[in-house]
Amino acid sequence: MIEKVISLLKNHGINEYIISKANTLTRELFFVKTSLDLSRAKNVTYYNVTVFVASEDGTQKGQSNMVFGPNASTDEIESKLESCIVGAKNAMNPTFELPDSEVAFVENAGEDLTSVAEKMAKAIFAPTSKNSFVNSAEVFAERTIIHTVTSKGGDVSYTTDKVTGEFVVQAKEPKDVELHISFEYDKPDTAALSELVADSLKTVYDRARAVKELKSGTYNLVLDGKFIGTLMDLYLERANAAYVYMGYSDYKVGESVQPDAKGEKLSVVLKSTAPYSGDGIKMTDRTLLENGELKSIFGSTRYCRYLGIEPTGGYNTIELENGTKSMDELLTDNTLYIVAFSDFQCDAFTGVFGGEIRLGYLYENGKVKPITGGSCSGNLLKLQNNMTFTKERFNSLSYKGPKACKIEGVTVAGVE
Amino acid sequence: MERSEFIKQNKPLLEKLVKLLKKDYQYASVLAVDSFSKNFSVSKGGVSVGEQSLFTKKGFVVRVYKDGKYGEYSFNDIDESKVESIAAEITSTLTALSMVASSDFIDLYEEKESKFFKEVDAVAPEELKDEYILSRLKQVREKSFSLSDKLLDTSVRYNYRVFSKLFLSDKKDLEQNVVWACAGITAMGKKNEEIKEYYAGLSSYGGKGLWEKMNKALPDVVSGMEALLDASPMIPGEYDCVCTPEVTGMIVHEAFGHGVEEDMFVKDRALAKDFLGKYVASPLVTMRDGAASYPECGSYFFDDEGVEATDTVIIDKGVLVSGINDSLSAMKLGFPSTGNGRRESFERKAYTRMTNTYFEKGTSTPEEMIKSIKYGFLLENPFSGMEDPKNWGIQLMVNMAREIKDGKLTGKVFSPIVMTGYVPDLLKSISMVGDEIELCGSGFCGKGYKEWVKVSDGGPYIKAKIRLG
Repeated sequence: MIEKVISLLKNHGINEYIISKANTLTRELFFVKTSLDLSRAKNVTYYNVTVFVASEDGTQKGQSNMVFGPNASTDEIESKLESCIVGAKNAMNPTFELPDSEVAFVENAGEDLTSVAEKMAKAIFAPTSKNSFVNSAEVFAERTIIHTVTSKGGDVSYTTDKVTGEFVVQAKEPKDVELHISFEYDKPDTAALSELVADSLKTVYDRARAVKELKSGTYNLVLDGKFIGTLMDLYLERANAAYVYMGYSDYKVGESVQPDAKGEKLSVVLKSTAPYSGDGIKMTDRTLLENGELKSIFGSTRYCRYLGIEPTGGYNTIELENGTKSMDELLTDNTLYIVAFSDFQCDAFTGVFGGEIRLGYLYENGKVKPITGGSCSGNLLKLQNNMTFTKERFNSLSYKGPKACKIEGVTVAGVE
Repeated sequence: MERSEFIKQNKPLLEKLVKLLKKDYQYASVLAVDSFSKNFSVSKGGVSVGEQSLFTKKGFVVRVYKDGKYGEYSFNDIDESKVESIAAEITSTLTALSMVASSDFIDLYEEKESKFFKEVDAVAPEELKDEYILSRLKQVREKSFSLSDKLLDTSVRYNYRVFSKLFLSDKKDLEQNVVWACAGITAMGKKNEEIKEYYAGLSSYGGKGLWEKMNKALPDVVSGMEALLDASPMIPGEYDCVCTPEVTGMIVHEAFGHGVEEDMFVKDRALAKDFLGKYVASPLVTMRDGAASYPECGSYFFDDEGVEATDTVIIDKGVLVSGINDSLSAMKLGFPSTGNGRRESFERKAYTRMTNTYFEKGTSTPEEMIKSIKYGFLLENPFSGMEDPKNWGIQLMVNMAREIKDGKLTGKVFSPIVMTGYVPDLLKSISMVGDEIELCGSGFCGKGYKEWVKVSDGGPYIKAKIRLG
C-alpha cells in the first residue's frame, strides 16, 4: 500500500510527504465487581498521509492530511488526495524544511496480549480490604506497530506496547463513597498496579470517614504526586515552540522561569516514549528545566523551524528531579494534604490551578483529620516561588518525580 | 447526502459474516461505520486543515452472545476472501479472552424487528469545501481585530463530521446518514504574565446556519476577553446566581446527567438509583435527554446497538422519573430501552451516554432574575466540569462571574470560578427559570477521562443558590 501511495503522490506532483501506517491490536476486559462482564478485541489498520504543497515563489508551504483504511481503493485514495491538495493550497504558511530522517527498524517481541490483559486483571483483584472493595474495572492491553516513510528518505518501523485502564474502589461504611482511578503502564507491571489498588482501597475508606468541615481560608497545600504532572504541564506548554512562536509564551532558553524562587528551583527532563516521532525524528530524553532555568524549546517541525531551532518532536512525559524534604517534613501542622480531586486542572495561559476536593488530610493541632468537600485554587505563576518537593518518589507512565509537592498560600473555599 | 458506498459494498459480506457467526453463537450483530471528519483553524500560528483521525474511520464491530457471555470484535479489513477467516478469528480470540476470568451468567436481550433508512437535512456539500470554510474563518478572524486593540490573538475553528452507519442482525437492518458542524472562537489578551481568553462554542445539527451564529457571537467574545483583563479573584461563599443557558447546560450535563446513566445503576455507582420517584430538584425543573429530543449534535436515528432514538423525560417537575440506558443495562435492570448506547467509534465499547440534554423553559426573563438579586453573580462561559454520580458532588468551572448588586450588573467581573456543592441542593434551590432555551453541542463528552462522544446540552437562564470559589 505504501508504494502505491507514493506512486499516486508523485503522479500528482507531490514531492514532500509523510506516510504513517499504524496497526493496533487490543485485548480488553470489562468487569462489574469481580465478574467479567464483557470481553473485546480489536485489530485495525490506518494509513495517515500528510502532504506538503509549496507556493510558486517557494516562500509559502501548505499542508493537509488524509486517513484511510487497508481496503481503500485507488479511486478513494485519489479522491482524498485531490481534496488534500486543495486543502493544503488553501492553508499556506511560511515555508519550512521537513526534518532529516533515519532508516531504522526497532524490534519489540512483546508478550501475548491476552496474557497481559489476564495478569493485569488478576493484579487488580489481588489486594483486599475489610473496609472497601473494587467496584468495577477495565483493562486494555494494546500493541501498535508503526511504519513511517518520509519524502526525505526516512523509513522507520517500531512497536509500542501499553496497558491502560481504570478501576473504581468503593467503601460502604460509614458513608457509601467511591474513587475512580486510571492507570497506564508501558509494560504489565502487576506489582505497581496491585500497590495502586491497595493504596486506593485505603484511600476510599478514608473518604468514607472524611468530614465536611474544611473552613475557607489560605492554606499550605501538599499535592499528591498524581497531580504534579498536571502542574508541570504549564511549563511544557509555555516551552512549546508553537506557544513561543505565537507570542503566547515569553520563554527564552537560558532565562529562569522562576526568577524570584525562594523554594526549590525546578529541574525537569522530557522523556521520550517512542523511538521516533510522527514525522520520523529520532526521539531522545531532553532537559527542559535545570534549577529553574529553561534549557529547551521543543515542538513540531514547523514551529521549531520558524524559531530557527532543530525540530525535536513532541513530548508528554516528564521526570521531575526535585526533592529535598521527607514526606513527614512536608506534613507539618496547618497543612492540607490533598490526595483526591474530582478533576484537578492547571491552565497554562493563566497559571490558575485547582479543583473540588474529594479527599484531603488536614494536619491541625497535632492531629490528622480526613476531610472532603470544598475546593482549592491558586495561581502557579505567583506560587511557583514557594514550592517544596519530597525525596520520596512517585512513578506513572507520564510522570516520574517527587511523591508530593508543598505550595504555600493557596486559597481554599470551604464548606461551612 | 448520498448513501455510503463503503456500506453498500460491504453489506453482503457483513450479512455473510453474521450468518457464519450464528453457527457458533446464539446472537450476532454488526455495526458498520463510514465516518469522515475534518478540522480547520486560523490563528496567529497559521492556517491549519486536516482530517480528524479520531472520527475519520471506516470499519466494523461485531457483537456476539453465547452461554451467558457477550463479546465484541472491532476490525476494518474485509473482502470476500477474508469473511470466513474473520469469523474464525473472532470466535477463537473471544473464546480465549472469555476464559481469563469467571463471569456471572448474563441474559440475552431481545431486539425489536425494524428496517429503515433515515438521514438528516444537511448543509449543501459546497459549504463543506475547504476553500469556502477557510475563507469564512479568515473573515471572522479579521473582523475581530476591528473590534478591539487589546487582542493578542483570535483563534477561530470549524469542524464537521459526516457519518453513515448500518446495523445488521437477525431482526434489524437499519441505516442512517448524519451530519453535524461545530465552530469556536477564542479571543486572547495579555496582562503581565497571564493570558486571558474568552471562548464561544457553536454548533449545528445538519451543519446549517453556523456562520450566522459565529458572526453574532464574535462581539461578545471580544468584549468578554476585555472584561477578563480586569477580573478579580472570587471571594469564596454561597451566592444568589443567574446562570446563562450554557452554564445551565453544564449543570444539566455534568452535575446531573452523568448520574442517570444506567450502566452506573448496574454497577451500584449512581445515587440516582435510590431517588427514582423522589424530588431531586425544584418543581420548576423538567429535564430531558434523547437523540430525538432536540435537533442538535447529539441527534441520530438509531444508537450503536441498533435501538431507535427516543425522547426521555428524566426529571418531571422536580421528580426523578427515569434514567437513560444502553441495551445491556436496560435488560439487566428491566427498564425500557432509551437508545443511549453509544460508542466513541466502532473500535470502542458501547456505554450509556447522553445525547441532547436540557432543562425545559419556564416563564421568567433574565432581566427579571438579575433584578431579583440583592447581591450575587451572573455566571457565564463554562469551561470544564466533572461528574460524580455516586456522591453527587459538583465540580464545575466557569470563566467569568459578573457582579450583581441591588438588581443591577455593576460591571465588575471575577475569574476563574469553581462551582461546588451537592447536586440536589443546587437543583432544589432553582427559584426562577427562563422563558427561552438554547442548546449547544460544540464539545465532546467523556466517560471518566475517555470515550469521547458528541453531545449537546443547554436550557434556559436559571436563578439558583450556588457555592463559588
